[in-house]
Amino acid sequence: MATTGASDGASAAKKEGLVTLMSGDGEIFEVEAAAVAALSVTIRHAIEEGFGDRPIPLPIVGARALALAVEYCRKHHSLGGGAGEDSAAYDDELRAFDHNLAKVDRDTLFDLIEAANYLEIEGLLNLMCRTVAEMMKGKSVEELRRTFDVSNDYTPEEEEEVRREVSWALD
Amino acid sequence: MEEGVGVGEFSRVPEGCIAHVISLTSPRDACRLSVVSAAFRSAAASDAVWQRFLPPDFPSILSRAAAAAAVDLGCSSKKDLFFRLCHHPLLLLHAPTPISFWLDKSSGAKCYMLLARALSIAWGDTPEYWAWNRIPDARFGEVAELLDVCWLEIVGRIGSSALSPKTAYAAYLVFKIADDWHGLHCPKQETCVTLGGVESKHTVCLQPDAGTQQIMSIHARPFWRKRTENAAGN
Repeated sequence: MATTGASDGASAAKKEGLVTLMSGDGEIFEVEAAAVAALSVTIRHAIEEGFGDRPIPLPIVGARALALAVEYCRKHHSLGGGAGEDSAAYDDELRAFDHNLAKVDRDTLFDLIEAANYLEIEGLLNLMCRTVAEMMKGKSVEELRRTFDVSNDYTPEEEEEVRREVSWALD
Repeated sequence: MEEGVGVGEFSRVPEGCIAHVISLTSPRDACRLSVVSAAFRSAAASDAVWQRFLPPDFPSILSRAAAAAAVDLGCSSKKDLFFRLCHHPLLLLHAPTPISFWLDKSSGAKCYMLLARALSIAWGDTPEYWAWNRIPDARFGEVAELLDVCWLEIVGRIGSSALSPKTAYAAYLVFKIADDWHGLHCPKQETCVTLGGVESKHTVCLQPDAGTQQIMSIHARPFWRKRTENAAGN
């Protein structure tokens, strides 16, 4: 599990209050345990299960998405105490931070959905899913296929039947 | 599922995440997405999506249904339940008269219809001016029939907290023209929607076009229910 390559990072993580995360592509992140544990259910459970003194492996999360997810946790922990966007603590600074984070490129957007889902960071998952949902709203079937590069896997007969069922929504 | 087939860029996220995204659109968008591909159709039909399109206070609304209704109204999925509530209004217990409730299928917004008995009608209980009749094509049986008045005033009130937040609403007066109608063309009538002290007035004419005898509705100006709006409207 904790290889010699990561052991330097692991011993450094013994510093009070830090936890070491290892991305799927092997990058090591040392982060404040309180911040990530407050926002990520997965990391909180890993720490509770005794991963606190060795790197927590996050196999499906790439380094770029993990860096952004950690940044999200830090910001929301320090400014909002991890509270959701309906709370009074969700102020203009957090709103601006979220707004900027949602401007990432499409590839990163889907990486972040995958990461937030795996790490169980509810706020980040909602933010990214809402961003994609906004791209979907009001688009026609053809625009949706083009926008998300979706191939049509219906037979013409199947598609005709589905179109008939929801004809009211296609105007 | 083969890599990327029918889901494009969504191929690396679990189906649960696709459903999560769809649940943040609208019922109309979800139906469009179901045509995009079979994989999307499966995600767009999930209970997770349609649960979110039902009003958050749906259990409390259902507990007020006049006829004892089962929690799911006999529907096998949340999607079926949603469309049942769009096409078959529920009669809710509401003081002093029941109120009809349904969902708008495009947005999932809560819609209501007040019974004639729930309206304040000037001189409504004076038999020379208004009669209370039962007609077969009325949704609630009893209707108020205008005989002759010099002052036509009909007011309906609904608490704005009963409406869906962040939603544009419109108010309608639903009525039917009698065979021997007269005097509706002049003077023109006025509609007024008041919400939280803001008033919106609109001139209308109840007089039907030549030959129309069906049930008609008069549309007052749209109004906007903001997220935190709490004042009672009428």
